[in-house]
Amino acid sequence: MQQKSEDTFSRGSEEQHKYPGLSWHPALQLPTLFAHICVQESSGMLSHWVVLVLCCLGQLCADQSMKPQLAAPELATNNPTLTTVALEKPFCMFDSSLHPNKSYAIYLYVMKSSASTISSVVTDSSSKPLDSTFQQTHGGHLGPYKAASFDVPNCVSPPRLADAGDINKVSDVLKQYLFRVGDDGTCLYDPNFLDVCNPPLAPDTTYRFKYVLVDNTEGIVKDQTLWSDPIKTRKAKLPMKIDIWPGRRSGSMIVITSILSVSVFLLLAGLLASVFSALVESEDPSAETKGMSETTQQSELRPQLSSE
Amino acid sequence: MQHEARNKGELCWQVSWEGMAGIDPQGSRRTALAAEEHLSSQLLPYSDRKMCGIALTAECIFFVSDPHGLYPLLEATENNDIYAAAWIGIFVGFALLALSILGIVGVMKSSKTLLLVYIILMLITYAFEMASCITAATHRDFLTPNLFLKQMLERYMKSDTDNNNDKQMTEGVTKTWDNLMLQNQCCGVHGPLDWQEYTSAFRMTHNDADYPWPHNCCVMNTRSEPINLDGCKLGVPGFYNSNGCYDAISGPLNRQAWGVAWFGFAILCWTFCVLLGTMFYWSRIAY
Repeated sequence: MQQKSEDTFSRGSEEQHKYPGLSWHPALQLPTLFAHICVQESSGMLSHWVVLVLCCLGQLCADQSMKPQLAAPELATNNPTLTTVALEKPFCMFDSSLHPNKSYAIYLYVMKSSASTISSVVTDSSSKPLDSTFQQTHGGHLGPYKAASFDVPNCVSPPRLADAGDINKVSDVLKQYLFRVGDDGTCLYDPNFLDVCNPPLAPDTTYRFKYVLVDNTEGIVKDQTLWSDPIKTRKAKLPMKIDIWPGRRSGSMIVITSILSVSVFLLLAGLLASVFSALVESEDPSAETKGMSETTQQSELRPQLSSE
Repeated sequence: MQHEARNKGELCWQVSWEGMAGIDPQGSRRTALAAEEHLSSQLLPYSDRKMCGIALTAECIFFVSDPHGLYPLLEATENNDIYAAAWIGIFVGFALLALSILGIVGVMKSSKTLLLVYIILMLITYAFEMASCITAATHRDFLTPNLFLKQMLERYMKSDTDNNNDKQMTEGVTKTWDNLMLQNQCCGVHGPLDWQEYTSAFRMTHNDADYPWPHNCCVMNTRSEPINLDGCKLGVPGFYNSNGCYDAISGPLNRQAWGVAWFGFAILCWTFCVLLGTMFYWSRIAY
């Protein structure tokens, strides 16, 4: 038990440096989900009374600073993508507002984070949640739109992220732990679609998200988180800008080319030299034989003359 | 001078015949043996070249047969000259084989015209093999990761092809990449984020929500289906292949380019010495 909380402590501090966009439980320096696991698990240990007190104080003070978070980066490595953002569901964020015998739902609102966003209010005058859609708000440009509606996530037994390695359990873990904004590419163009539409977001755009707790019977907003930190979707570059110039020539190519060129030159020079020397040699023997035949003729003539 | 430069082969036959006819048997036998040894030492370089020729042909046939199926990638980049170098290597290997036989015949007959023909044909073959080596070495330098990345993004699953040639190249690239990703358990050139960082022809027809990267990048079960599509789309470790395919591409291509270039270079170095020797020998043969 002690080792587990120590592990989460050390992991938390290095992660906070890696992911400054996430909001952290101010008292315990842990991600919100694990902060509340700490609360549950330390409740029985005498030596953790100080931690428990801090947890409770932190929970009371921190309700006003709850924000939607990106899903854990070890689990969802491709986040955010060009058109989707995977958010952690609001575990234990609304526990203080829940009554045991009522049914609640959580709504997710998405809004573009720009100076021209006209309003960021998610309730109307009678505290009912806004029923705006993606098309009505021009994709979150004019104001927030409702992207999802789901049950309150289970705070007592949250899904264990270690189970995500198991093929049989990964679907359930992903479904319970996170929600993917922009998942449904077809609901915008489907005239029969009646549910809440969650169409893909725009690339290279900053969005902000908010969770709202709604009472199902009365239909009014009971609690809401703050708007999340701005989260930007990816930007895609054009492939024709990729530079395919290979750069310097490799050393092997220079060696092969230079040595072979020199050798061809030497071979041609050798061929010319041997042809030339063969021609020169062929001239001399013909001169010698000519000279020899003349002297033999002369020597034959002289005995003839002398004999006569 | 004439006597020394006379055909050693003819001398050998003549002396051995005289020896058989009973004229000066001891002396003629000794000179015949000396002549035979000299002849066989001269013929050795030519038979070595026969082996080199056969080896070069065999190596280049192996490369041209494309055992890794990477030729469509090079054909689509219009940069397939290392295959041209291998084709030239096949024919140069045959030429070396044939010319070495011609060389042996020329040396045995000591015919000046035959040897001159041999030298000139060998020079032409030398030039072709030199072209093959330099082509293989030079075009190897063009095969960079960015080249394959750009081609993959522009051609993989491209739907609107302009003409038949474009369509053929696109199908070749798509099939090759699908096979590569399945067999080597890899994704993209540097990694799956190639599909996220750049727009592509694939992105035109497959939206990002359903296909952040092609489904061949997911870990597959025995029926070639992703074991968990949501895990693959989100990038959960263990459900998608996170390493790039560049090693699987560049390994075989490098081996081919360096094999053709350096083996050809070695053969040419050996041929250079033999050719110089042949020219020297030819210049010393009298008419």
